[in-house]
Amino acid sequence: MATSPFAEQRAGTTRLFNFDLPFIKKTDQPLPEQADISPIHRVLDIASGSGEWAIATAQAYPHMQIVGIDNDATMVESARAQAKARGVDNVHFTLMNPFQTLDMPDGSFDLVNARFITGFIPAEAWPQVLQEFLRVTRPGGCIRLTEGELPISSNPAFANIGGMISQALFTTGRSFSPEGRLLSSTPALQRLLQDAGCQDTRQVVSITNFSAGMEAHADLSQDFSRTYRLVQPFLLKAGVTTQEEIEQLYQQMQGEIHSDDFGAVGFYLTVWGKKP
Amino acid sequence: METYDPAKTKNWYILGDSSTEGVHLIEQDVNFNTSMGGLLPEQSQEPLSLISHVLDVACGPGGWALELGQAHAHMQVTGIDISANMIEYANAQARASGLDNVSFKVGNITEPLDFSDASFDLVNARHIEEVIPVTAFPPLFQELFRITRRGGIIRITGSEWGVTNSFAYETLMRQLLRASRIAGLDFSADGRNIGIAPWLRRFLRDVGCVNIQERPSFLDFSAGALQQSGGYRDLTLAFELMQPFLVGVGVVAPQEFEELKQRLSVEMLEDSFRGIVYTLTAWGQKP
Amino acid sequence: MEQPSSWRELLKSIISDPAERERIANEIGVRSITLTRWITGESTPRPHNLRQLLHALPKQHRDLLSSLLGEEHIDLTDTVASEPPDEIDYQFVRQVFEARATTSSNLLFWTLCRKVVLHALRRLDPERIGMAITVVQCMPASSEGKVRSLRERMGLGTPPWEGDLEHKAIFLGAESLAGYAVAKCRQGVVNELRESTAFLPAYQVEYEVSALAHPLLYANRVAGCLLLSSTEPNYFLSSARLSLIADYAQLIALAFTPEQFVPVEQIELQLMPTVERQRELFATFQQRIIVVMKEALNTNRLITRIEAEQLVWQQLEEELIHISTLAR
Repeated sequence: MATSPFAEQRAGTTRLFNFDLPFIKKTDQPLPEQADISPIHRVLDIASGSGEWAIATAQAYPHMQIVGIDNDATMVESARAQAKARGVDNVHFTLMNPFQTLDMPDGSFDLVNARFITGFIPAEAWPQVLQEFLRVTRPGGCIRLTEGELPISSNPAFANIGGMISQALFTTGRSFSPEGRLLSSTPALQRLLQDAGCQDTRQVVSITNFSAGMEAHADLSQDFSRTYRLVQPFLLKAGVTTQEEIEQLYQQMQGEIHSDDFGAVGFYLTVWGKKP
Repeated sequence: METYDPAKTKNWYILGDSSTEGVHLIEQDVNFNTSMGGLLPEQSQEPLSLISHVLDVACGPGGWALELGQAHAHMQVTGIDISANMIEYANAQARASGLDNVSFKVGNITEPLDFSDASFDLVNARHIEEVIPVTAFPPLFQELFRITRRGGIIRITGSEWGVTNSFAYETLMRQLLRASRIAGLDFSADGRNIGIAPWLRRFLRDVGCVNIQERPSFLDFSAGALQQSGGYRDLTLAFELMQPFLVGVGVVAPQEFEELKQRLSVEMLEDSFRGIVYTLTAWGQKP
Repeated sequence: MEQPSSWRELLKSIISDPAERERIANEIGVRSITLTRWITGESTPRPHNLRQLLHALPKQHRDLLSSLLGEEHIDLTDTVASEPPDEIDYQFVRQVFEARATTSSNLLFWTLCRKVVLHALRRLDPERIGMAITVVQCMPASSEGKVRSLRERMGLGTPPWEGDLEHKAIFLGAESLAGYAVAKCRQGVVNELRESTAFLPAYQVEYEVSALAHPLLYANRVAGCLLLSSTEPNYFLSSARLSLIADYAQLIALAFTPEQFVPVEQIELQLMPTVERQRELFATFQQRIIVVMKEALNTNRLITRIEAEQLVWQQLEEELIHISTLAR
């Protein structure tokens, strides 16, 4: 059963990381590594959440039709409202569980995009989830995965909360790490795609430096403030911290994030492959 | 180095400076030249022809400097390292290749550098994390800044060693990080990773560089990946040579270490093994 | 034709004709890929290369190139690139002895071979024309006390050979140049593998045009040989070069322990199957290692990877000899 770490709150499929959004905001390039986007018309965005990526992509590439699916009704509503408010009409959001059998015909899409979904599903569920993604991709089309590791930070409270998340994901079977130090999902992606049947797989690495003073700092520090608050019930339930400890750490983290001293970098890997 | 005794040797390098390590580093240089996409992959062609004096700090056996001098005959490349053994080896390699534009000398980067102001067009430092105490970085960068000419480039590369799914690797990694913390070599805020990545840009900025840029790269040494065998040799050897450090600092007992090493060999060869090293290069100009 | 704005652009247009590219490369004495690298900026030609390039061009291109180089202030005057010395300098030999004295035994072979082969590669192929150097070792004797094959133990190369040749290691037998050198305890050279008039046994592997094998000796016994391959014909001709290679072989011999040297009477090499056939069998190599090491872990024995590999190599030798026998 796919439940996000945030399911306890009404925050639905809030993802842990959005390392790619600052780059997209700055460059209007949601698919920077793809050599030729002209044959891509129909795109499926997995666990579209607040809809940011889907809307940005629809805006950047008017010739595409983007479908975002999510199993949280509030999120879907909110994404629709966003799209409407921004006047973007080539994107549609549908209520659907992205990690089970998809209510879509075979070969419906040229590109299936899944960003930062580590944590939404158990590690062993990836193969069958990817199978489904592949089914709804047309032959010659592409599955594109983007995953990151924990941000690497010079500030202890921020780093510690990240570490707790990693530990909690490990104890709940969602991590690829043998004992929870990091998420370890990025090295697994290429082979997962190949095992699912994809060919011509490729990998590209990126970083976002969201330290104090960097362009990405404003957006991502807000993002992390939010997600690191919403994730607390999950951490408590997983038994990696106490109410008192996490509250104190969170306060400390807020101080760190807004200081001149804040340093953090997120590495993320985009891996894609073609359906033969 | 059989025992880890940095106070005595003024050498914090955790893998020691044996011949084995010299050969290991040559290979590691080749691995990373490949994964990074070249010796100076982020610099475009034009500036390269304007670069004539290059310094490589903590150059080890000189792999990078030698390759650079070989590829660009117009450059005068100097390498410095604290280890006389490494420098001797590097000079032997340079002589063997007949490279008269590459030279090496002993130098301690935790002390003021024996070069005049504005001597170099490009100063390079790769993988100096876990080599000197973290407190030595700010003064080092000041020295690097001093010896770079105006308009010249300071370039630093660091790696976050190993995201893997191997139990032995992860255990050894945790021990390494604990030991690094004790030895004052660890940048990590919470002991989960090497932690150098957010500091690269910061050191350049703090010292006064402008036009600072960053470029990531990665080395995939998973089963079936192109660099699997290179990565396998690099990392198994690195952990092997780290034994005096880990045991000396007291984070692991010799017997347990032997078992972990053996387990590591097996796990890294399994078809299920996955591993990536993330690398970051940052560079900036002296205004 | 548009005026080229840089010397690289001019060179690019000149060598867009493959015949012209070959001609110029031959005349200057570099490989044609080197010319391409100069154009992309991946490497920069030495001043004496540029002088040679000017000479190799027809007049109208020569004048244009000369003025473009002048515009870019490229210095053509320097002393000729210093020739590497004819002997291995003693500093390095000292380092090898030092390594032999201080390296722990499980790392000794790898460290010494690596160190010497790296040095040899730099000395013998500084311009990266294309060379592979491999250390070949006698397999342990059979139950009848005979060495039946040799194994390529470690190797390094410059392009077209990829850096590390370990994954290309094969068994060599009576049909090979290495086999000849070991069985006769004598240096063997074939300077043109493409012609079938070689007197010595040898077969050509990919890229190889000339080859040399030099036995590794101690107290009149042999442990294997040093095997060199070059992409150039007649690379192993000058006596100075041959004697330098002999010196390197002496250094490599230091990587072996005395017990690894066998009397030549024990050498009775078999014919080994083709490279392709061998590689088919090697596909199972990793699995076999894992099986051996896991067995050891399960029975609480400590076995190093090196030891596991030895066992697997012996298994493979047995199977290959069997295949070879059946084929006849």
